[in-house]
Amino acid sequence: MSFAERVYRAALSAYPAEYRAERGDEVLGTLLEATEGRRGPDVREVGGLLADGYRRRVLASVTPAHGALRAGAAWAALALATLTAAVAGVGIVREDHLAASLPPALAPHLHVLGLALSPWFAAFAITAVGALAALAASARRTALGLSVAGALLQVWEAAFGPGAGFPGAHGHLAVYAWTNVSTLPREPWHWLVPSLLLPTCILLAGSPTAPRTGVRAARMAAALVLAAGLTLATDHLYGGVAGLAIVLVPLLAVAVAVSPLDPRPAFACVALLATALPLAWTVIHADPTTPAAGDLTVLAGIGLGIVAFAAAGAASARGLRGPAPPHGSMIDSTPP
Amino acid sequence: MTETMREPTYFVLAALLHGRLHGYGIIKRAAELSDDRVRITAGTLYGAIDRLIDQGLVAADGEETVSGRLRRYYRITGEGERVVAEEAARLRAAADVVVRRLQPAEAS
Repeated sequence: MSFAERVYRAALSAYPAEYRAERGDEVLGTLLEATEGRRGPDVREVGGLLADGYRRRVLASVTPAHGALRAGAAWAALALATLTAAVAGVGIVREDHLAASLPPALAPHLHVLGLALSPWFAAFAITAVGALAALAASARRTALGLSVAGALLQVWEAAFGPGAGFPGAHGHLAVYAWTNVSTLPREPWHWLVPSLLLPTCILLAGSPTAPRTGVRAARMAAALVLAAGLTLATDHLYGGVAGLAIVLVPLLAVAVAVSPLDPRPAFACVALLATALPLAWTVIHADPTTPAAGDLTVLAGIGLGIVAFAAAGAASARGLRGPAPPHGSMIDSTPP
Repeated sequence: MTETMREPTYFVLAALLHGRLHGYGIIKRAAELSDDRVRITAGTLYGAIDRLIDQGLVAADGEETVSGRLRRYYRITGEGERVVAEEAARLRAAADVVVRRLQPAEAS
């Protein structure tokens, strides 16, 4: 087997397995004929294979009937899960600072790696990071279960929790997780909005095509590294372009890597930034001695991000699937 | 909203007007018809062929193995001929607009 053939075969792995089984030999034959006489593989051909293979994977990951909605919901679920995991991570770090100012009855008695933790907040953090990891691994049911568990935990805490009525204990309670990136006091039900939106988006996103085990493991590792990175960033970075880049770059990279969707539409990146910027801003300023951005900024960012993600997902699904059969004149909106 | 046909798609259909062809045959014929301007990669070709099949403009037309390599042949359908003819007419009309404008200037 020539070097070129080996490269083309490797590039063909960008295609879904079913497509490779059905058309792989034919495509390979065409490639070898088209590049006969060349010493090595044609870079343009390899690029074409990777692009078309990725496009077909995206198409295989969305159901035709509800592709646009599901694609948008998948983007939104991913964004929300990332945000929630990051907020939970921020909370774990900040809780340790808050512990000293809490009344003895509310002070966390649980100590993990030198950090004072409230069991309820720790449980919420586990559900938040777990939901993100499950989503990254395409384990939708697990992600749904964990996100519902996280929301129920917050509902229970708001209604019956021991900290109800102690305003100073906000950062200590799971239901107030988002106040860790905000300084404005709000009703607890206000903060449940992101937690309730997450399972809704996961439900709407449906079941994506399950990737291979190695891909799942890589996605999970990337998601966990992101959550850990954001948490560490809050502890050590309090501003500046470097801090912003350190928070944003992995967020963008992981969102693109984890998503089964096509990242080509430019506004998908704008959507990512729209969601990430308010978070990055608040995360960078999540210093107990520095006023953080307002909660409305965070929620507005989430809202804007969800709308933009849904629009980007809809555009991706529509653009990739191609137009309906022509009537009268030819329509071809997909890239060549 | 009506969108125009992309050039590779147009030349894939145009190549098949000469009769059934396999993948590399289409690539080669498209390059010849466009004076080597349109060089379609395999990824682009099969993406276009699958869309055209879905739209009923192209159909699979048998397969054979040559030198150990699988060849699948494709042919243009009646609807495909109609659509590519319409596109050619549209392109000609668009070209005529410019040509008519330029002719008086060239004449003077």
